[in-house]
Amino acid sequence: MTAPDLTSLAAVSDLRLPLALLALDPISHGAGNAGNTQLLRTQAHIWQGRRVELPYVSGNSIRHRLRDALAWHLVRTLDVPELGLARRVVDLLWSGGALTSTGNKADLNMIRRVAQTLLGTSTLGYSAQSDIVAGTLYVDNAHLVCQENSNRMPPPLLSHPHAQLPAAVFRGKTFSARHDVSGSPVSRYIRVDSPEDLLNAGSDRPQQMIYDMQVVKPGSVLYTAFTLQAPTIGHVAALAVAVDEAAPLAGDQREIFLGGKRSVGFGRCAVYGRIDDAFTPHGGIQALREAYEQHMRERKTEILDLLGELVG
Amino acid sequence: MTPVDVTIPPGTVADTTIQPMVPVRVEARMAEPVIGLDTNPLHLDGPLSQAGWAEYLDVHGHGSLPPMTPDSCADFNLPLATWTAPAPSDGVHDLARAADRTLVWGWACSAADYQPAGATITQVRRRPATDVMARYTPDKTHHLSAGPLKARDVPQPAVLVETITWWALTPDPDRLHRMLNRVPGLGRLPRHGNGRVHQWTVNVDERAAQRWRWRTWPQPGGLPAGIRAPYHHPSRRMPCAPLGDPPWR
Repeated sequence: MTAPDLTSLAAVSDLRLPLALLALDPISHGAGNAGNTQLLRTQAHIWQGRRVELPYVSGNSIRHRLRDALAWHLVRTLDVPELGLARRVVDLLWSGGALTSTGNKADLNMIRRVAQTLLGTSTLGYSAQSDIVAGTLYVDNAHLVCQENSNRMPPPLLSHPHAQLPAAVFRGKTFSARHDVSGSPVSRYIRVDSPEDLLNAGSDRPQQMIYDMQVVKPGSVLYTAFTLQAPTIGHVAALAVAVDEAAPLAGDQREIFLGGKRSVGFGRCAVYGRIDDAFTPHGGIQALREAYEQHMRERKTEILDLLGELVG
Repeated sequence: MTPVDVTIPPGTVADTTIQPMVPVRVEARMAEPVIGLDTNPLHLDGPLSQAGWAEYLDVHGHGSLPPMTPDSCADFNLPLATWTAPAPSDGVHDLARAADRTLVWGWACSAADYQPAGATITQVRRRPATDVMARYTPDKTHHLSAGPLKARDVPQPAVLVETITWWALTPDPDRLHRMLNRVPGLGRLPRHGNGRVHQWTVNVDERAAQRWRWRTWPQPGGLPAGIRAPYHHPSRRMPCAPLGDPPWR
């Protein structure tokens, strides 16, 4: 198969990628605090005529995971030097940009150039100057496989044993501790200017802080889906790279991180779904990735110039 | 599908509700709360036009749709009958007019009929990438609470609803169903997973022969409202009768 032309604006078939996620570690997706307990984010849902609050991971946060993966991939592939981007460009790549000026005309030529050149940004949508440009990617919220979600989960998951269990089974709580080194041998490195300081050193006593957070328990199963509506082949390639970057293979299984506290071991999920098969009609993930990276390298100057031009 | 099929040229539409049409009840079983449902009548031709737009892209590709301006707005060819009614004022935009220039036209479908099960708030957050900014930009500071790049946590009011029903006249229920299956979500921010439709169904229902009329109609001296998709477009706005509760409830 020859490499696809990723600058084509022709629409290819819609692509839907349903995923099941097995939580390998606790998932922390916060919604504020009560005391020093971080609350789990929940969504109101109607089940059997009554309102229930169910933990979930927002599609918005998963979209950010994909956007973040594509942004890092861009700076890495184009070998962008540190301190080498404008702040608005960073904001565009990592957060989708912002409206920064007023205007009543959509710059269609710019939108076309972005769709042909900045494939990841175009796939996820962005705001720049006075334009809000929708992407072709829809990311569903990730919901628990549980009894209360049985009226909205994909039919194949209804036979999963968790579909018979209430969501409360999958909610848990865990804690972390912040260790304070004052009062330990490390204290001798704390500067004391006068003897009085030693007498007033009450606040320097060890302040070990335990904080806890509500979590979705490891072993829970969640489901979500990525959908591309009327995408270009460039959008398909961008999604392939986003999935490959955000959910890399760990052995023979892809893994993705959901929610927060990734740096302290939360949120790791094994991904189940026919991910690679979904991209096979377009040559497969690896071929799309190679075409995507070639596209970027061949247009390095054009891409960086366009990013600057786009944010104004 | 050929290019001429996907849009309707301005000033060519006649009343087709008098022709044999299939009365249908369209239902969307919802999987997620719908943002902004309580502030919008959500006539069926609104979300259906999204599928019309996708069909347009299938034929013409991205970047091909003529720009939407106050005097330019495409009408996608939807599988619905069309109604006509006398223009309610002289100031009606040309694009709103039917083949008979004294009439305006719209799609034969009702507003969204549903029983809200409750209200909720969906929060959409935006975290500035300050860690990356520190690494990739030469700037000394980034203000987190001011300016367009600030951190945001935007509460969006949403409606909890199990099923939304519409009534319509269609020449082709199968095509209508196929097109609706390309509408992933309703309301605002569907790309973030909000307002996701779990299942679309289209069933023949004789009650639809009358009930599709529960919608916004032009009326001299009425309040400004849109008569067909895209409802926000100025060419669709004209004096209209207020939409009351469904008469069958």
